[in-house]
Amino acid sequence: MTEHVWKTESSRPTGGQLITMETAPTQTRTDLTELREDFASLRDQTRLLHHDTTNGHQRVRRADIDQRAAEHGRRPLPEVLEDISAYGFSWREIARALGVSVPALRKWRLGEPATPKNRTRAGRLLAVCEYLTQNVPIIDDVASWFELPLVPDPAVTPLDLYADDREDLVLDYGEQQEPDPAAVLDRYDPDWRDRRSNFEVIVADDGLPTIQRRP
Amino acid sequence: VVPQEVYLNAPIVLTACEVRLPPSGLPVLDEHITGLRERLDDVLPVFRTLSNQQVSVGFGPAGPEPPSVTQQRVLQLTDRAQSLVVQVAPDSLVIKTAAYKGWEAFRPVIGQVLRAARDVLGPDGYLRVGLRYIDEIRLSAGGGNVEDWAGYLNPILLAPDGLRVAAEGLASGGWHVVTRFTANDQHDLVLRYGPGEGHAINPKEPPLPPRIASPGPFFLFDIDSFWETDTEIPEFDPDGISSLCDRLHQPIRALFDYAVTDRLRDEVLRREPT
Repeated sequence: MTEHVWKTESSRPTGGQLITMETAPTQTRTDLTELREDFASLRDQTRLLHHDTTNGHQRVRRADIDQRAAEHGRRPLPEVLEDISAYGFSWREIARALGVSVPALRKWRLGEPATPKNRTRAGRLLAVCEYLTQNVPIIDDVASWFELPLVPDPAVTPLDLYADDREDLVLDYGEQQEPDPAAVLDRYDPDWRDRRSNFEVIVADDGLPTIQRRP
Repeated sequence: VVPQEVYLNAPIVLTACEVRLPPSGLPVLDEHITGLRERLDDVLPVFRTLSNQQVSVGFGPAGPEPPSVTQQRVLQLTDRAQSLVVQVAPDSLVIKTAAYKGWEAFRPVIGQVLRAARDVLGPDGYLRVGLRYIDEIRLSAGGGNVEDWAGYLNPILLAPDGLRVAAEGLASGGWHVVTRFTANDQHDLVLRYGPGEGHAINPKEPPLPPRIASPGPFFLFDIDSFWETDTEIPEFDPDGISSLCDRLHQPIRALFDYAVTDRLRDEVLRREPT
């Protein structure tokens, strides 16, 4: 079978894009009009390509996590909770992520039954932790990462996003699909800037940090 | 050498020769314009400068990055009929005509432009040289249906339409075939063909055709024969580039002649244009 590898340069025909036919594959350059059309088309294509690849990646990621979560959902719940804890989460953090109380968590650890919904949530949290650990090299301590605020103020953490059922934002941020924390917070809460504290930390004249009311 | 027949009603709408230069990043200066005008004034007395926008788009981890836009000055020289155009940009020379009168007439123009470019711009070398011939083949009547072309074109060119037999319930909406032939490591030929409607080349932008065909169905036959290097950059030698163009030109006519039939030659190409 012949492998068709066309050089990039060769995709720019002689003289640039001379043909204006709609059926012609878009080509290269020469005149300003053609150039404008070329780059408008290129811009649209890159935008669509980015959109397609992002969507595709998110679908594959969801399928990966669904599969892991389903497997964990079939395991004994105490084991799943111990595995989550082994990543370095406190029981209080796990309870928050799952949206339950610490005493409820304690009962499950001791073997008391949980609802299918809570079993699923626990399996999914473990799946997300596994996924991030295995696929995002910069996250070497997933529990600490969950507790790191995206911006100093308001100190919203990935754990807050997760507890609020925004697993998608946690994963996009973790994988740097959305590397800008402000953009993540915009998607989470468009009014997040208004929820900042009335106080801020500044360095005072004596060189020590101090708290003052925002101007 | 047997001179090739020049058809009275040749379907060629554009011939272009492009020499792509190593990107120096240096602009086209006033002194370049003056120098080129002096050397090309006898064939290309009209000039204008264009401001050409170059847009670079990069990809980062978050997808496409904001494009960077730079202005590039482009010199355009034309003959008085505006049927011959030379475009000089920092990274390319393009010579194109909509009034092609045969290789023997076009080749000296290429040589003259190359010599002027060598003297005035002093390019460091060249990366790609291409010759492109774009034909809009039109029938005296019809052409809107594939069947109309039977007998006028080599059936090979119409073969893609045969696929509609398998596409039950679907009508052919046209096709555009791109085929690449390789002569050697550096010489390639890309052939694009397929039916079209209207004009393949905007007839109202220079180079202007001697006469504008009525818009209607046509068959595009677009040959791009080019040499390209991705290793050694040759010196900018006008004679060497002209000889290279001879080699690039060599397969073009044979391809065209194979694509059309005697019926097209007799009934269309050898007739006085209307």
